[in-house]
Amino acid sequence: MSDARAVLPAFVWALGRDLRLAVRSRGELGTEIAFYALVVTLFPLTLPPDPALLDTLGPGVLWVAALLSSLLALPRLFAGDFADGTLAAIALSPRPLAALVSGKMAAHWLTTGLPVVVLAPLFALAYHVSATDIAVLVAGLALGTPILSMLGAIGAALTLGARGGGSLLALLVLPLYVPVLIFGAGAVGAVHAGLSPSPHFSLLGAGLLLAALGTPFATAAAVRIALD
Amino acid sequence: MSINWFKYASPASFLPLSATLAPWFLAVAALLGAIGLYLGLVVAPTDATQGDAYRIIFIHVPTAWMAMLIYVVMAAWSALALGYNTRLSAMMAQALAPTGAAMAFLALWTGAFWGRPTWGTYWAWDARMTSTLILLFLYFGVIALRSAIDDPRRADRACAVLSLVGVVNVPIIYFSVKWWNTLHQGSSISLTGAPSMAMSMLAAMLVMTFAVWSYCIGVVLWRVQAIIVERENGAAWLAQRAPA
Amino acid sequence: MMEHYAFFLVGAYGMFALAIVVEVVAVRARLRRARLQRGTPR
Repeated sequence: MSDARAVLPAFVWALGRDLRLAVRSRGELGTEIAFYALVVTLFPLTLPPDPALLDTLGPGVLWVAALLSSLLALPRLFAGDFADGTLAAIALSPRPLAALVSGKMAAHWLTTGLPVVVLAPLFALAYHVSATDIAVLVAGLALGTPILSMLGAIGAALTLGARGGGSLLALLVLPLYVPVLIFGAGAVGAVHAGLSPSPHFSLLGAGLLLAALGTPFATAAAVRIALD
Repeated sequence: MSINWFKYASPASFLPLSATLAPWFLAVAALLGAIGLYLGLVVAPTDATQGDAYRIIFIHVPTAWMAMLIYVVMAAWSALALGYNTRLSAMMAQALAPTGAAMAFLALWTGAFWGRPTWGTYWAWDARMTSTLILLFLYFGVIALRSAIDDPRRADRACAVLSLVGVVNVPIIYFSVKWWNTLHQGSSISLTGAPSMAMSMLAAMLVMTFAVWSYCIGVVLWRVQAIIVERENGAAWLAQRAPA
Repeated sequence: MMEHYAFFLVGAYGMFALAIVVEVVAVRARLRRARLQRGTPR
């Protein structure tokens, strides 16, 4: 049976391992960030170069691009380990699977979500978003992208070994992402309209806590189902 | 006398039960439907503000209600399937998904056809319709996941987890969409306005709700028979059974 | 728009009826196919 004291070492081990693996395939990380930049670049090409219009649409576009980037990186979470049997070995470990899975989620966020949070101000400037709006955008992304990684992990685990590839994963995960999108983009909209973003941040924070408590167990269950 | 709750928990014993029950539920649905449609289309008066187009609510409200209810019931069967590891619970969840998706689609379609004559647009991004659209995607997800996994028992468990994750998220999604919508209420159309209800309208709505509910139960019990026969193909009990 | 309510009523109720018919036909066909394939190796 799993020991409570084993939770942190398991988390740290899984996080460290996934980070090391990610660093070894730096190219893959680079292309994910390039994807984000590309998506963000595409939208203004469809619009008249009106700064006010871009300012209105910008935060939403940056949020949707963050969702898509998170989605794109999800298969990497489990598929490689699943294919070569490492995931089965991990699941057999006496360490709590939920803790190990949490480490993987954290690594996913560090390699996908965190770059988005860091790069967002750059693109927000390109969208003529004001400084206060950018701050709220970044704060929202900082709260929200971890939730995306955690929710996405459930989808990634459920679709292991299933046919349908990325679009199945997108179909499963994007509806779950909707509240994060609404509150994250809504926070910027609120500030833009002169209102307080704190209700949005409270809800995002609550969502983050809920996700942190629930998703590791749901994901661990999904991993075990996939390994049966 | 204590009830044996697990008497019908095996596919073998449930098959004849569902074969018996399904036609009854469909017959009740047809009867209630006839009454409800008569009440709604003939008896209920023309509305002062919305004319006769409001009569769409007699199918819009029941289908929207069933879309939500079926998802919750599907999640409940999924919980049973994971908790007791019973095949039949998972089969019931499998049988519910297509009907739930159909109800969600109908809720969206009838809502659009109600919106156009009364508020001028087929689609306005209001809270309930947008949440129903996302609910439809959630149904598609469960159905897609089932067909994407080859092993039926593995598909059972994966879809069960997905349904449970979904059912937790449905209130959150609804709340978030409602939140988003009310913030922008000033510039958007409110689609929450049902006409103030005369007694006959209320009666028609209630009867139609029960009619659609009974239909859903009947068609799900019908579908689960097909699922049982499909999945128990090769089992001894099924081979010995005379074709029903 | 209100005057052409018949179009919308037919459109809504018609789809409702169509969906029921499609679902019933599909389930009937599915059950029939399942029964025919009983005993045959999958």
